[in-house]
Amino acid sequence: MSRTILIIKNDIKRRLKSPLSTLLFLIIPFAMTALIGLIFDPGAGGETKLPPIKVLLVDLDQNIASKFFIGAFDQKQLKDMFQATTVSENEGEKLMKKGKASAMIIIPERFSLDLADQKSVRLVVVKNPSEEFLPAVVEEFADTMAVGFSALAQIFADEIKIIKLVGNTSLEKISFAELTPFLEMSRVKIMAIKKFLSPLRIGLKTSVMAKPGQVSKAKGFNIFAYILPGMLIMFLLFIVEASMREIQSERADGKIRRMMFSPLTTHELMLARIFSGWLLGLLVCSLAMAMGALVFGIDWGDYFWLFILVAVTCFWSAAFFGMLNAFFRNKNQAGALASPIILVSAAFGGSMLPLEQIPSSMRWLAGFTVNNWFITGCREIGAGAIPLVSYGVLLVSGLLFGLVAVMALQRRLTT
Amino acid sequence: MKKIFHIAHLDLKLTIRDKAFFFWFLAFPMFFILIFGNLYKSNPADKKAALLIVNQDRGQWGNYFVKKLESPDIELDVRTSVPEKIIRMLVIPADFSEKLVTQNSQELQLRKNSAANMEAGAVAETKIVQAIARLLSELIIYGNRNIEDFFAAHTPFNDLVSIETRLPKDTVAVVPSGFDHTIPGTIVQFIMMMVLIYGGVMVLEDRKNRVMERILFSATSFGELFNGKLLGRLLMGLMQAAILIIAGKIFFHLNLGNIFLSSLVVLVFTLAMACLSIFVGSVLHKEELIVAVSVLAGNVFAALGGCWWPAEIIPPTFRILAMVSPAYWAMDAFHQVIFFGKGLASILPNLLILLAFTSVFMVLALRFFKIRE
Repeated sequence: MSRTILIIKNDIKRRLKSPLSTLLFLIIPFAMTALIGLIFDPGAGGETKLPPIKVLLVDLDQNIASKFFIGAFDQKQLKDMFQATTVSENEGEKLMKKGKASAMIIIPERFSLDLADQKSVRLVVVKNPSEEFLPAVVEEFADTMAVGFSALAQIFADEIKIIKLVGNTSLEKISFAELTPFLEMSRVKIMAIKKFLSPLRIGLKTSVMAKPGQVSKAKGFNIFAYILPGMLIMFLLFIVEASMREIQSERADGKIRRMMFSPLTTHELMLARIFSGWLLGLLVCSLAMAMGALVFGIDWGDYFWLFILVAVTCFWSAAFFGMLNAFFRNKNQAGALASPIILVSAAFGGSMLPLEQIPSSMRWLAGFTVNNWFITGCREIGAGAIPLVSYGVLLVSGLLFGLVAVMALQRRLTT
Repeated sequence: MKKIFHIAHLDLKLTIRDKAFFFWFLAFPMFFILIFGNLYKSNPADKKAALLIVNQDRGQWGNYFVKKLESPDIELDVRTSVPEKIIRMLVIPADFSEKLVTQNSQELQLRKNSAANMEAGAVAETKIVQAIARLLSELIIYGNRNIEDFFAAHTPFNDLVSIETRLPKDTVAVVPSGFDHTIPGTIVQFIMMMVLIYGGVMVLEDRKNRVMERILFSATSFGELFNGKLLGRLLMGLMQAAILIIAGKIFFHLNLGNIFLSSLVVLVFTLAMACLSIFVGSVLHKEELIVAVSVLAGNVFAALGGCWWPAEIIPPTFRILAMVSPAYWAMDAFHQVIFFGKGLASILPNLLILLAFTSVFMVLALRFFKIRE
């Protein structure tokens, strides 16, 4: 036992002597979490806010309906969402060709008059081809405005006709007695609108459903808590792998062979290696989680269950890379294969992007990755549950890998 | 010149012979393209929102409202009970008709699965709001007449205003696919990563194993050695780009606009990365460190530069910050060539800025380039 402890002490001491690469691998997940988190930081309502959408408005109509349409963009809610600028058609086309706005809405000539005559009219939305989401938002908005304008034109069809008539006739020829029935009709319609809209007769309430154990992006949602576990496990694997790769260096420079001349057994050697990898991982992961709580304000949940999860995950990582390094022939082979394994595991396990974004036909692969079990475990603990399945899967597979590692190293050292 | 080519060719050969070459240069970037391309694909057919309607209404207004919801942009699935698996669901309550007739306010419930596509969800929500607006308009126009006679006597809503969408004149003719957005980003990111990692590590190994020292014992000059190393890294980046462009053309019908201009962007960007990789390989003394620094720099530059997600969703502050990333200028040039069909004059400022990056990295690489440890 004392021999095992001596090797572990030596390993840790050596790592601490040149901690730069370990520190860098610790900084990377933080830098990435901070960057992604700040870009996609959801507002107070838990919804990710888009930057103001640049919209160009071209008014070829220059009449009441187009003024009304353009005026809508001055409302507080729409002002926060859109950055609207009125331009001429030529200027607008030039700016769109330069990609200076997400979209341009062209209100055609005779827009107001055609609406008054209950004729079909067409708004043109010119979309920026280099953008993917924002032009679609403008299109949907214009579509909704179109419904609104169609509704107003139909509700006030008679009144609009009168306004048009008044506009074309001199005041001397109009008798107010003739207008009274229309004014009364308008009053009835305005009252009807009020009745239907205040309060809204049919409203819509949207809610997001979450699977059991899955965090719903509702109030209190911390985007950093959503990203950091995935990033952390990916780079933890790199750190533990680098530590376990020492087996290759020691084999190459004959250190292991020399150690085998002492009463040390391969079991003890492998146990010491796995334990030092585990200890290093535990240290780094605990530090990263403490920093996550301090810097990003992440509420990890119950720290006892979290510690167990981190301990089991680090054991799995050390055992897995111990096994791989016992199989690899040399350092080059380890370097060439370990990183792809980590990255594939990260890609399918939910470290690079949320599992729900991965095509459903590939999602089953997540069950074979440590990333998935760690991320799921963190979320379950955060939601107040105990991730028993994650513990079980990681512990059992970790023990299995550890056992295979001991046998494989023994075989490699004796052949 | 022959010696420069010889050194570059040797570095390239060693890269191709690497066991993980296939994974790093093809398999992994292809995975990126596939995932992110599907994630951001902008084909209207893919955005079509599936909407499950659970119509529990006891009267006929529920069915009438469903008719108002019919639109080419949503795929309706009308049922009377809640199924087990739900993507997004609109519940029309049992007393929907009753409340409409008795003129009471009510709220429809739209429930979205947290795993469902957000864009399609937004489309569905907009269409529901539009359907509500249509129904309320009909009721307002119907006025105070007997509501029982509504279905026989009302005037149906007429969509007088419609929307026509198009792209700016003299730009692309076809709406770009998600892959047209993703592949240039992946090309830029993987040129950065591969040239920095492979190029940097090989400089370190050649220095440690005294390969460069031995080369200088031959008739090769320092300048030829440096240029050979630079050309080697340039070829590595170009090879990475070529692999992805060919794969993109074959599998995803990639549109790169004017291929000459796109290739020019790739060339200038790769040159900047080649210089940076020599600098990184010269100042760092451990393989792990080079990998860590390259992964950090590559990912941060890629994220800021708009390689991972559309630049339009990046907040304005980060867009300004992104200008420190060479990837930003390369991506901007790609956008101008691919999506706006611009010529050399338009991307010239981008190329000059990338050349300025190249100059800075070149000075650093020359200053720190070491033959021996």
